[in-house]
Amino acid sequence: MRKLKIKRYIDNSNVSRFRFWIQIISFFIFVYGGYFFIEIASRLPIFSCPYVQGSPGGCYLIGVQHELNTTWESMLSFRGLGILTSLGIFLLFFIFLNKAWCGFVCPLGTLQDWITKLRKFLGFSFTRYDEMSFKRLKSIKYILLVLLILIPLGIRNSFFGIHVPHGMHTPFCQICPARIILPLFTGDTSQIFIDFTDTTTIIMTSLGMMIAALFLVGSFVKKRFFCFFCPMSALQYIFSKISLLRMTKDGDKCTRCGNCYRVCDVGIREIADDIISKNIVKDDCMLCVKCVEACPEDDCLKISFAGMPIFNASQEGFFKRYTGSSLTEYIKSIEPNKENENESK
Amino acid sequence: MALFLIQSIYAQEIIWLSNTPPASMKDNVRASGMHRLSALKKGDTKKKKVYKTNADSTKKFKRKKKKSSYSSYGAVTNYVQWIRKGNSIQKPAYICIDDSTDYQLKLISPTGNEEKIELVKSKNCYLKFELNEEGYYNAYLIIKKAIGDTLYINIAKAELLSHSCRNGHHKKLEARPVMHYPEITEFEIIRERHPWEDFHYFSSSGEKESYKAFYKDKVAENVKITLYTEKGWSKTMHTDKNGKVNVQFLQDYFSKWQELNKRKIHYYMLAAEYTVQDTNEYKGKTYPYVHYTLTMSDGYRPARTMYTSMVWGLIVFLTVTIVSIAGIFIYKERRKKPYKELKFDEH
Amino acid sequence: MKVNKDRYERMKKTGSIHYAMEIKKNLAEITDDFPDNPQSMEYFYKRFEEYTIGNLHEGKKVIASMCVHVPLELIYATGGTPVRICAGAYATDQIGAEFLPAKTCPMVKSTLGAVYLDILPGNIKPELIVNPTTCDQKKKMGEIADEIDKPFFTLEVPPTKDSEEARQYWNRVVKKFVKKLEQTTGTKLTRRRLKKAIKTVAKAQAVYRRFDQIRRSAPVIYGKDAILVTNSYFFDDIENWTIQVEKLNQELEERIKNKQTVGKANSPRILLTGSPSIFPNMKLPLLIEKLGGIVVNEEFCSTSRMIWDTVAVDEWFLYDMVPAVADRYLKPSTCPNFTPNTDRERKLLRDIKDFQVDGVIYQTFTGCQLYDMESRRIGKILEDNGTQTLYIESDYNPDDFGQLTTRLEAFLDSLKNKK
Repeated sequence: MRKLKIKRYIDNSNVSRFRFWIQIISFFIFVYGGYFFIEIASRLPIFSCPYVQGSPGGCYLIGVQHELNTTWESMLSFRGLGILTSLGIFLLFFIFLNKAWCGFVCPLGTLQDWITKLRKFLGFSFTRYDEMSFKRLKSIKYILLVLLILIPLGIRNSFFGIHVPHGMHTPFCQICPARIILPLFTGDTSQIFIDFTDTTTIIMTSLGMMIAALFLVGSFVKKRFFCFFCPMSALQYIFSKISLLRMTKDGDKCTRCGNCYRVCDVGIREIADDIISKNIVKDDCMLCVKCVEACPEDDCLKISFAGMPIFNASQEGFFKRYTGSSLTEYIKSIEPNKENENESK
Repeated sequence: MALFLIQSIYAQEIIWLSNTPPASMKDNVRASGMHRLSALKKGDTKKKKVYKTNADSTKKFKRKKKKSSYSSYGAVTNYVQWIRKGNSIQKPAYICIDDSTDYQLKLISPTGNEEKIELVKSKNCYLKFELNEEGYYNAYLIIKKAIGDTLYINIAKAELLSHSCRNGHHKKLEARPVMHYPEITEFEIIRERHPWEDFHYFSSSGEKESYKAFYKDKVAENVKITLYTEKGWSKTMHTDKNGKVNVQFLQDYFSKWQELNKRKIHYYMLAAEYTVQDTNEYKGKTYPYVHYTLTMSDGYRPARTMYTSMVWGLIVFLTVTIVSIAGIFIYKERRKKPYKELKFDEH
Repeated sequence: MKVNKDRYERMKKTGSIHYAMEIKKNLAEITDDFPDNPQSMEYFYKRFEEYTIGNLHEGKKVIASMCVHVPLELIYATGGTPVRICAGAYATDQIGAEFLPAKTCPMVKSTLGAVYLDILPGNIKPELIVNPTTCDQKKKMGEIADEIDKPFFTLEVPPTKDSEEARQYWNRVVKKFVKKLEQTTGTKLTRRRLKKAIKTVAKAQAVYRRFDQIRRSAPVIYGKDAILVTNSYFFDDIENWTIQVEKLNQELEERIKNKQTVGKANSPRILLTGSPSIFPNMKLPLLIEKLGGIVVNEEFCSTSRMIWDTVAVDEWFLYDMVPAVADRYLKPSTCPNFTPNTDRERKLLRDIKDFQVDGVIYQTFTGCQLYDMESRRIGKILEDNGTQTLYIESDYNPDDFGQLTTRLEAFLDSLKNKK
């Protein structure tokens, strides 16, 4: 069966280049959009940080931390409805792009990709976690997610008689590198500080500064360093299955060549080794689609939206992307040389 | 001359709206939201008995109190403003308005709608209202009184910023609009907004603020404005030709960082007096002079520089950066185990 | 084994003559016994005619390799020219038998014989003979290197490919291999050269995949010709090979348009698997196709397994390119030397579906334990899949011709009847 012309064109296209531009555009929207009177929404599934002056929206994590800073009783009142509404808004945005929010839109993710570009420019090699560390460190994002839910609850309620000090309000924002680093892009250095109000604030703000430093160093040596620990990623994964945008794998077509694993920025092994699961979006995945680009087997990896195929792996596309020219162009370029060579023999 | 005398006598009776509750009401009021606006706790009408007999009962009481506190969160919040008299902020004289006084209450929402505000006269007297929209509400208490050939209009005004982070930050840019309402009061003073202000803005000590006086939709020149602070400072200024006065709150709060409360609000009150020769009709009589007294109270917090340090932030940041770079370098060097020592020259 | 010079010369002389005869005879069978061979195949036939007489890659540093585990990209990038010397000649098989037990795999014996007598394809003079430790015979063959005084290099292939440890080990082995190559050719591995090598090989892969695609869509070429095409990848200049396969592809596409197919409509479509058929040992495919079957696909390490898999690189630096190349030669390999080797089962099932295969012929060389041992499991899986399978044990000796003909006839008939 012949593929449709448009389908073939898309499957042969270089999505990474497209992604690069989309990331630049979304970075500008989510860091400077506010200055151009762009308002999107709060409760977005990305780090659209409200601490950035020009942010046109808000990150769902700051919203959920604020909302949960309330008592059990009021959660049962209409305040609870508010919590559900904002979860609804989050999901409304999320289901359209699934984890592609991370790979295409999130400004902090984009920033890490830029740092990777810088590293490549300087010619430093990257590092990867070995299998054990990967498995061990994987759970950190879930721990952070649970903490960022429990700590705000603990401020207004008591857990077995323990009250969390008020200085721990929005605990994740206090340690989030987006709060410190993204405002720098608008020339706002006010987030670089240690708050000496009390011990809690000293600890939290120092942690924030440390994590910001680790973020920069870490993403220089490891691709998408922070995303591996991001609680937003954990939260998204919980709802990933209901999303309209899906990545599926046809295990029968897989040769387990490992191309997809090699290009994976977060280092997901299952993408190459799992030949049973159909839905291959894992918790660390950010749907950057690099694996689909690197897959040389026709229709082995597929991106679809609401059942409609968008971007499929294809041989032709693979060779075009990885060798930079089509076959006929290549043959044309080497043929004259070879003929001369053969004649001279 | 006579006019001036009367005016100065009347000036003693400045009436203003305050956010600070009287001591007797402290337990029934909580500070709500980011801007710590006074709001009633639920069920404040019931009086609570305070046991002071022995330690056990105190404990019991405390537990009970804890349970009841914050119970109104999430329900309709009744915000309150207190009516005060005199220019001392530290020693508040809380007053009430009797029915014989000619007064008018107004509450204007950020979108310009008139909303409900009522005067509650129980043991304590206060203005009660709800803030359902996000942004600056203007509350007015206007008292009119005629003495001699002058009509005295006392306007107690409050600019109340309503915002809860729990409701999100999507209308960030709408925090700023400055509203004044000539149809409610011909004379008005507004605080000018800084360009960087958002819903989280709070004046801080050391900060410069400017206030602008309007009369009948035009800027009012040479208006006498006096600033009274909680610390007892006061300063009298006159508006310039743009109708503006500039105020810088004194950074007079020096303490050790352990003792500093960054959330402590220091209140100030601004009183403006303005007399115009303009025929006015009031209760069937015409008056050639109108004397306006406008008051406005707000607060400021300790400056951020008093409790945060960017230098220390940078020190921590740079230390961690250097240490982690060194750590990675050492780690990579030490991992040069068999075969890993084979390195390729990239060039 | 010490032989005096005279005897060696005699052996070389007779061996060469037998070798040349064998090639000529087999090539004639391939070309003359079939009508209407594609024009573009002429180039490939010619390559094999020159097998014994030409001076292939003259002036270049030739690195001889065996098996599918030798990273060709690295050889190209260090200035070498890879030539795979796995041999299929009965003439050299008999020479090899002087070193190894009679029951050893004929391919190993044949290769060893060819190396010993220096009658390698195109008369190449390899600077290095890379010998991967893929099976026991290969390992022991490597030990004879000193005895016959040839520059053998043992490339350690791990016994498994699924574990991370195996991957790490293999990555280290490949790193070491690069250093050895750099020493041998005197050329340093650089980013630019490796990138170019990867792309050059990728183009050959692309063109091969198109060839494969054509074979899937219509029976326009005999398996014996396809095997020659992939066999010439062993030694031919890769760019020439790419150009010629592309020409062949174009001709075959024309044939699809003109419905100029080979065989008959009811010709059984056969998939060959097991021990590899390497020219001039074309016994099995030739016989099948003479008896009316069509070999549509070969799951051999001399054909698709060698060319199919690709290298993907994320960052075009040596730190990523070298491991990427290393991974390509380990992870997707379906060589039975790995355990577990479920990928081979899956590949077979996939190929059976894609190529609409009617029957599978499983070839095992006498002494090739790995394919022999895997045959039972694969047979069962194919049976469960409803695919008829014929198991054939054979070697390079043409004596079993008659017996093979009988068995193949019966098998092909049963497939025809089913169709």
